[in-house]
Amino acid sequence: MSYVGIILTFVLVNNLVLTYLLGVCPVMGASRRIGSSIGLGLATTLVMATGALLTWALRTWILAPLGLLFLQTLVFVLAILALGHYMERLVEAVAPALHRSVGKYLPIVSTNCVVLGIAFVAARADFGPIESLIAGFSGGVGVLGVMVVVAAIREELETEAVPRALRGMPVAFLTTGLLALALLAFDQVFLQNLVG
Amino acid sequence: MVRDLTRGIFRENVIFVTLIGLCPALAVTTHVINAIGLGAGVLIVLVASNVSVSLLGRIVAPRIQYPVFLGVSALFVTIVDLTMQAHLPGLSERLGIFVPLIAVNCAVLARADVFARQVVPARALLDGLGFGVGFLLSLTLIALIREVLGSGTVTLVAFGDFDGVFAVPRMSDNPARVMVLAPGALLTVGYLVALFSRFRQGPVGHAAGAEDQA
Repeated sequence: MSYVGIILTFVLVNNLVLTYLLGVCPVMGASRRIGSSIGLGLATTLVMATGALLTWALRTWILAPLGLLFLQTLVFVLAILALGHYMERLVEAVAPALHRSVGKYLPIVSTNCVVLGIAFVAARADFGPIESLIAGFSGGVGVLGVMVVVAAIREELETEAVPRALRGMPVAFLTTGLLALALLAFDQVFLQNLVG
Repeated sequence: MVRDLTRGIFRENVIFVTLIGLCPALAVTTHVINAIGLGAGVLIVLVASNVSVSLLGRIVAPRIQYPVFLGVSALFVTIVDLTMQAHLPGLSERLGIFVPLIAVNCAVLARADVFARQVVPARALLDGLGFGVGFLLSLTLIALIREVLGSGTVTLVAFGDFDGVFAVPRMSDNPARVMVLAPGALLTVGYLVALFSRFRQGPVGHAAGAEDQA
């Protein structure tokens, strides 16, 4: 698949949150304010891009030659956990200001299913290194977009009259459901017409 | 002891009350059999991981407990994944990446962290069973609603000549297809969470914590 195709696939057509339904927890749990949702989304994007590349390297250079591909789940989980941990240390040392807004979320997102999900998706599709990196990055951009939009809508909803039973989580689910409905417009046909 | 077993099923149900471990719950619930398959996988992993964590909790230093628990969970998920690939290839194919993703399921990790590491193995076992059954039942309920509305069928185990699909009269002619797509999952869970919070007469998402520390 072309690089443009991969970007369009993971940002719009197969948006990880709205079609694969991965990473719903951070979208629901964390995004009540636009500011924090941007920080969380950027951290997710960072870990997804580097994580997809790291897991490609582990798979190609270590697991496959040793015939240990059946340990993929265990290795991916622990590798991405370590990646998030050390990346936080790095950001803290290099750019303390960035650490307050984005870096502090890195360890939290490193065990999120969307981060691991893109690693498995890339592994199953047999993506190369560049393709994995792009898939991780564009997947992250897709997640970031949904987080910000849902946070913005929820901020608005706080001043609206919502039926008592629907307040809080239920209305957030319905909001995200309607977003997913809107995104059904971007399907495989759309992708094929655009990039062939 | 009995409460260890029962509270996970309704009062602290992970899907509808504490709202954790949602990702697989939403994605695989297009067919009832998928929900049962993944729910059973989570149940096995949750029980095995809870008992192991309970045994390891006093040995492993607190600083490295989280990676160790994650490793334990990933190990059992690998066993379940490979067993499923060998004996139920069709189901394994349909569940796809959601079987390996049980490894980072918040429900499994939360039970290890909040409860299992502080108690004796017997209580951890009952807790794992309760929450696992609660997860399985919730997934089945979501899948039942989505599949009946979205496809007009109920898909169960196939055996012999029977393909395991029951058609629901009237519904199967003209189903609301959107219910088996991604938006249907979010809408169904949204309304079910609202229903649960109505029955429980309290704000959603506060049930865990206080009770578990006791």
